[in-house]
Amino acid sequence: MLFNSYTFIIFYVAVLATYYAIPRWPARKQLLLLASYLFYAAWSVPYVLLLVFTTLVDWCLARSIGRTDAPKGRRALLVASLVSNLGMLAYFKYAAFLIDILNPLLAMLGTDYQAAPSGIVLPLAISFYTFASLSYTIDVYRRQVRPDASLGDYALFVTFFPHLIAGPIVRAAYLLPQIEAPKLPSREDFGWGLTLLVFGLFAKVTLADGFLAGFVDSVYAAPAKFGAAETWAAVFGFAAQIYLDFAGYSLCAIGLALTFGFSFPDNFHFPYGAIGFSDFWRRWHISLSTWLRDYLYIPLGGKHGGWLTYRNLMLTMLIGGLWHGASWMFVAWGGLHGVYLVFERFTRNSVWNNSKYFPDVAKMIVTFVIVAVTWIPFRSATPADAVAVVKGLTGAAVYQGFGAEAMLVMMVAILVAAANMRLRSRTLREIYDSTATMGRVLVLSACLFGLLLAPSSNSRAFIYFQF
Amino acid sequence: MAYIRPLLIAFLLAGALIAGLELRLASIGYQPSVTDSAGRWRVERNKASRLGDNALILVGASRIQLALDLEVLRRETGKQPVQLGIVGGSPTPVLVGLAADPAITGTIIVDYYDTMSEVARGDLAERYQKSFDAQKGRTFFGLGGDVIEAGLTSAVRDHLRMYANGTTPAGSLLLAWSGELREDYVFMAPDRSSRGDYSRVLISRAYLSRVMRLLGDIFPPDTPNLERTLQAKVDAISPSSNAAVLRQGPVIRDAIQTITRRGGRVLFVKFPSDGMVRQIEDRRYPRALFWDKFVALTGVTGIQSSDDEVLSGFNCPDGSHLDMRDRAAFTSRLVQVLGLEVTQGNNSPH
Repeated sequence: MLFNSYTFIIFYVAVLATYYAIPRWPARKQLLLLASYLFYAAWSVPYVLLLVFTTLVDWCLARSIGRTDAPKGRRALLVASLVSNLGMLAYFKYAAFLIDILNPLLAMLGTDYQAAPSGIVLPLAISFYTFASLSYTIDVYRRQVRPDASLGDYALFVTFFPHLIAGPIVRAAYLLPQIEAPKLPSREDFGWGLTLLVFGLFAKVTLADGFLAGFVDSVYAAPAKFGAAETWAAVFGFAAQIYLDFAGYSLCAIGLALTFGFSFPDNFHFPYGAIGFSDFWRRWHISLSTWLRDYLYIPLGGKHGGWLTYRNLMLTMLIGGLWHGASWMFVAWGGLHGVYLVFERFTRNSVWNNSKYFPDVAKMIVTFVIVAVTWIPFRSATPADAVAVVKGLTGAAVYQGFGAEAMLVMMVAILVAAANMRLRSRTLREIYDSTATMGRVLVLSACLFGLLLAPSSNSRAFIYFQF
Repeated sequence: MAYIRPLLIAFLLAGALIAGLELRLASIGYQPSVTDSAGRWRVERNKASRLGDNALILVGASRIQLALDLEVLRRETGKQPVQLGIVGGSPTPVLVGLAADPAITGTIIVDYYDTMSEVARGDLAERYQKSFDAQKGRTFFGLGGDVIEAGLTSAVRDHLRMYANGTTPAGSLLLAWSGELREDYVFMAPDRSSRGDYSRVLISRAYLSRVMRLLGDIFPPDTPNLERTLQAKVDAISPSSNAAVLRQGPVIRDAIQTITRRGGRVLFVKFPSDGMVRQIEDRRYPRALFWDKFVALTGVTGIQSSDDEVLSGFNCPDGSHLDMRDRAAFTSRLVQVLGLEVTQGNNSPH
């Protein structure tokens, strides 16, 4: 069920009205749990069982870890949780990818056996709910979270529909206490939640889909047909599109949760205003980058390993890339970011970091341009496609100039980047709170007009749904 | 109320915008109409799987949508027609998708285009087929989120003028602003069949703009001697390469054989075209290089409308599509030519 669908509007209004009509907290939680399973079942009924399985396994294992004092026993239970979660992820998400790697190897070894294509359907949101659930068993193992959550509360933490499909990846330590304690949102929070929902939908439906997606799709489908100027427009256009699409989804998720009285952490903080790449990763998909930091980078040794720090950075970014999908293109994208982070760390005392020679705005622009170009492998289906787009950037057809659509896409992309750079030190709420009531009405009206006028005949899924 | 009041005012203003736009569109003569979408197509595609032997599946593009009357097909063949034609789409991805579905055991009529072997990336039919493949196995007793969303989308958009005939709301706003009544003449029914009412349009303009689109050369309508200029361009056309036919032929053959092996039938029909549109097709895609090669490679059963005395007599007002007034007669004759009519006392075609 997409947030930008008619089904969701009916679903949300019905759940919200019932939620406020029910007086008792346990019943409210049961309603949200039931609604969340229904929300997932709208995508696939059979795969709800997988969600239930993950929930049950991790809840049981976490309780067992909590009851066990012996380090070996605790470790064995944690390994069981890791094997169960990562095994499921490997089977459903990476089986085809592994077969593609395995078959040429088998052929090279001279065996006749070739593994058959898997034909497995990738369960929606498996990467998100697996990571959320896994964080619980790891935190219980580290004694950072108590293992006494009831099964109902834990199931609601894993499946709560605003974050279920594409995050933010909420940790148990953050959400479980909110589920345990009865709380309704204040009128202010409720209003702010709805405001975020409008902003998020506007970013996704009007800006990402309405202005950018069509042109970006056409250039990436046949890059050879376009001149260099238009290819640059598509590259910057995709940078803006994926940001507006995913940050838009995150705003919707945070806003929806707030209308039920739950707070989610921020997932984006004006990432195209980043000064350098480590700053970018502190601002982009924050819930994933902090998850990878806490459960992968730091356990690998973090930044205290000398040369090993570079290895840790590269491994974290390569795995982060692979998390997005079973494709070498995502690995390449993660690898490139790893290289940038290593380079940035290696040169941290160089002239680049001297603001006398390189003002912050120059660094922001350089960071944005490199990040935008690095989206090419992420967006391209095959290496050949990525090479074709890169060739297009320097193509001989540079003097073809901009068509009207390319010009519009370029303008939107530049505006998005410029706004990120301008607002990088503030939060959305601070900006909104400092706006007069008439300004708020104008902004919200513009967003709603945009939402009403933008739809085409087919609504698009959020890009991060595929991960 | 610092957050709620601006929201309430903005929602009221947005409601006023919709109401105002709908009233304005009504005042300049717009009517709501059914609009096509991937969701609506998936609903019909699911139906094709459910109907089994009793399905008469129509695959292709706008010609098959405008040329065939589903009620006549239902009555004269005794089968349940399912319209899967997609405006501007290639029939090939849909045909390959039907072959991959073991539930498809009925009769399939494919709208043959000489360019059907070339499936452009991002082709609408490919996108619709992919969206269908993505929801396979996820429905529960035929009910799934996709089906519900398709129904709700239709329920809303089929009743709003700002979505009339596939227009976007933003496009409707521009039309409302200019006060211009667009010459809508193609209307889709909820079953995805379409009728073209060419009495509502200046035929010469529709015809010449189609010719220009096919030539890839757009001239202003007031260009002196426009028809003669276009004719000269048509006369200069040389044959295209049939490499795509040779490349894709085996793929289409395999799809046909897969369907035939499980008891289905696949029939290809080249629907009529007229005037310079026909001349462009004949020059670009000579029969010996395209149709004959295609038949030889795939072994398909098929007909060209131009080969039948009655079918070739139908006129295409815009050079490419039949008028709604000819649909029933054309459909009836096609059923006879393809041998699909129900025999007396028998509910299956001979």
